[in-house]
Amino acid sequence: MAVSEQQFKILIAEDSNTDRMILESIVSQIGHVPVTAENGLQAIEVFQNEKPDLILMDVLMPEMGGMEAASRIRELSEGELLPILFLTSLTDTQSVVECLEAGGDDFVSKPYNATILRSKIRAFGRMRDMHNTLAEQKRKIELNHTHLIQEQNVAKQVFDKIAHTGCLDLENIRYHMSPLAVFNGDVLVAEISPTGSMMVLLGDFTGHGLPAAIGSMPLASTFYGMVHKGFSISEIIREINAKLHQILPVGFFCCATCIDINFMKRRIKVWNGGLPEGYLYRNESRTYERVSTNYLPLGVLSRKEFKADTLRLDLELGDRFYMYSDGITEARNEHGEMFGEERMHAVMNEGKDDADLFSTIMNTVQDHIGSSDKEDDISLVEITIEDIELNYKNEGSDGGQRGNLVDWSMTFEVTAETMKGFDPLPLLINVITEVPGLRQSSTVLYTILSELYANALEHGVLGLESKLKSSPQGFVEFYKLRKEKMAALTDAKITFLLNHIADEKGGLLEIRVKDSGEGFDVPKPRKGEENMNYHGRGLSIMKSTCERLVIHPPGNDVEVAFRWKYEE
Amino acid sequence: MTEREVDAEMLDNLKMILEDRFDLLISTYISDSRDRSERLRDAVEKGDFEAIRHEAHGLKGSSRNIGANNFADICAVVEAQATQKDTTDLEQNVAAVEHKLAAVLAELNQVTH
Repeated sequence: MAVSEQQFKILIAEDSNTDRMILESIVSQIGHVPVTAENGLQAIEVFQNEKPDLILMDVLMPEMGGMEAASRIRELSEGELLPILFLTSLTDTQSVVECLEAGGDDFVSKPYNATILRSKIRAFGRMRDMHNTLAEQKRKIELNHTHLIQEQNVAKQVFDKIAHTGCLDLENIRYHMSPLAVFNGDVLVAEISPTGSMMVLLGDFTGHGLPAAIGSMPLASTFYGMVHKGFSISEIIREINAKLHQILPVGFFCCATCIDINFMKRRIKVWNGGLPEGYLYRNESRTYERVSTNYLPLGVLSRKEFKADTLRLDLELGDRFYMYSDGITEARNEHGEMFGEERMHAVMNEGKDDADLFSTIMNTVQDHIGSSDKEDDISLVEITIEDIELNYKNEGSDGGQRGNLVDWSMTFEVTAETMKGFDPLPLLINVITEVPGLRQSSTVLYTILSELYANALEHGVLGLESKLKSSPQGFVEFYKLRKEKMAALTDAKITFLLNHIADEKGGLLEIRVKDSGEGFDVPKPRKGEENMNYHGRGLSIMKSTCERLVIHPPGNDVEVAFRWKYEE
Repeated sequence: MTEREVDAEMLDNLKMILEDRFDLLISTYISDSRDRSERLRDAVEKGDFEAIRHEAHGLKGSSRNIGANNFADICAVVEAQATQKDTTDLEQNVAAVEHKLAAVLAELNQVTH
């Protein structure tokens, strides 16, 4: 009769032998499997052993009545779908209510009717299917959710490795980032360059979740890779923009503020695109300046269209630079009102004598948001200009266990066209820092190389007079001439000769830079005076850091030797 | 004319459902209802209304299931009286239950030969 009808195990709890026999037969006949109990206590026992799909329960039974047994079984079945149908000839309202409250789902009245019972069981079968479908879908959703969380954790671990804290642990940097900032699309990277500059980039990718986090990876790896090699802020920003432009889909980009602070030169270079303006707090005048270059965010423009020019500002000790993502200005209070830039300006204005302005900003924003349980989406960075010495960290050095450069030499030649548009120093520094011991000294080496290159280019190849630079007008004139002569330059050559000899304590790096210029009269050192007045201040740096300094006549060939030792 | 105590159609139905267990069903009903009827008498003598109610309820239910509807109606009256603790004519009504049961059982004995 019943084609593909579901087969259920049905518990019949009924004390009357006659009635139980009739029900058993009906249940068998309509294709289900009966199990029986003669009273409430037995019903609970059989329920636990047999796990029936449905229960037919008599109300009045010895030992334990049907209502109590139903309540206990409900407790035991813990939210599983288990229809209980009361067997009764009770017809008054009170009994019906009692049965329902005891956990009954329906009634079967005497005399039993096979047709009615079959329809009722079928109806519960449909309910059960629906319940199972729901439970299965719920399970799948939970599984997907768990999976998503796991993926995010893995992504975060990978990201944390790539975008490690860099130099964010320095004492003059304070910052706040949400623990899951990467999934809010916020990213903060900072590192010391071999040029002695501190580079910091705060970025805010469009969107949330994994799509926002993905762009952070190429950003961070490009940033750290290029900072380590001594590239300038403009070059780094240009490269990150090109990379993001290439890989991110249309409509995805990264608002960012990137700064380069040189504590020795006391200057900051700022590039800002899409993020709120930065604030430069002036310690002496107790005022603040708003710093912005108003460019488009990273990843929007092609390499050709992109502008990487930076704003340069002089710094004094005690000055502080603040940058933040729009998580602050867009933080909403309970009425949905945004914190906004005006409130931010107000905080800055009132905070002129506030030594702990960072905390004041954080607290004011938190007060605005109030006690909502919204996720923290605030990124704020404060950098104080202090008289600190930055050491370029030698990451990944393992004392020569891997294949290191030991004894080597190289010749590197740049010609006129290259000089016009290419800075050869990062490339050279990149090679030199492959020697682990030298990597520690890359800041000093960068200075030496850049002085030698500047002298070879400006005074050698271009033939500019260094005397010009001694007056402000001359300084302007010098750079005007430099530009003109550079543009007109056709036939020129600068050659770097590097030679490294390793010894057990460290090594000796010889650097010789020759240019195709005419040279100059090398002043003979007067007696008792070691300081040869070579061009500018570069010489004294070299004298203090290098073991040897020789200027070969006619002055277009300078040789220095830099000795380094393994750290104790 | 003598009215039948057990609905013939109901019995035919039960035969279809129970098949070879039909005779067992009838003999079970006969012995169970005799036991219940005796327990009902004891309960009346003890004045135990809860027991009266329970036995009358049980007799009523299984009797409806086999189609002894007139008998079930009398059981229902006694069950209702016991629930209300109403003793009016209780004795006579219980006697009627016993009398009617005898007639039902006589008919059933014929059905099963």
